[in-house]
Amino acid sequence: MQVRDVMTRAVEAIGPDTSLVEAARFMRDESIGFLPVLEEGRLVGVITDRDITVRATADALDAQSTRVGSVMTKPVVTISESESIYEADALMERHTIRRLVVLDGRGALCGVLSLDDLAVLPDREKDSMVEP
Amino acid sequence: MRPAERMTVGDLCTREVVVTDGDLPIQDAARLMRDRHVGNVVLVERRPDGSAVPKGVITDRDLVVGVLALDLEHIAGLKVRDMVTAPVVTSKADVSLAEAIATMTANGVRRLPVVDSSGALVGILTADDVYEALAEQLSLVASVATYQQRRERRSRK
Repeated sequence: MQVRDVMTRAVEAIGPDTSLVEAARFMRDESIGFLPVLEEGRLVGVITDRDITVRATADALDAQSTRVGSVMTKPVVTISESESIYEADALMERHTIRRLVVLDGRGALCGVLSLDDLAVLPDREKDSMVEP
Repeated sequence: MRPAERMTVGDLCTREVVVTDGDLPIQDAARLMRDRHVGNVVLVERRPDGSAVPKGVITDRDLVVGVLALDLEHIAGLKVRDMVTAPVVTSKADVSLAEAIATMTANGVRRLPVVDSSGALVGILTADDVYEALAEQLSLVASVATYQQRRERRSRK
């Protein structure tokens, strides 16, 4: 089973110049907590609700004037959509992260794979993940 | 490890919980989440015997979508009490994993403060703890399957 079979497609993204207030509203309205950051179509980072809390709110940064680009996480851990879900699981474990940005054959953003996507697989698919 | 059907929430939960009372300013809650490497803080009320009763949970996400998204001018004056998700959904420590999963599903929450029979906080069970427990069980099943294949191959020789 490949990453493309279980990933979330049609991913929302955000620009690095967006304010944290706008980013927070976007996360609320779209019910998401993870956004790839794109600059002129190029993946430059990712930002999560947690990044905002621990890097901005905790330091009392002003959410109106602080931009996504200054608190985002980079570099981004990515995986190809044709990789196996076993490889995806190993990659998440190695980096102790729970989401991967998925790239297509040309290296363009095409989805996000979360640990939850892997956890809700049917049992017979998960069986294949525990075999090295 | 206990068999899956006998694993209890008490076996699986994280015993170290970051707690606060309601007076903690929002910014300090964010700092606590950063410094203690947690995604949630449990709001508790102390009883005379020193034990803590969970009254609510606040997550890193609550701080973003509940506070920043509103563009409140006075974030500095906000306290945990103002933002916390309450009433809190808890789990008893002696119930089964299956029961805890059902509680999470029914209430749409991915974390449950765990309490003893008196209602005192003893831990927290997150969806990640559940994944980990189930994955361990699954790898046990897989190793049995591999073992059986090998044994069958040997017996057919």
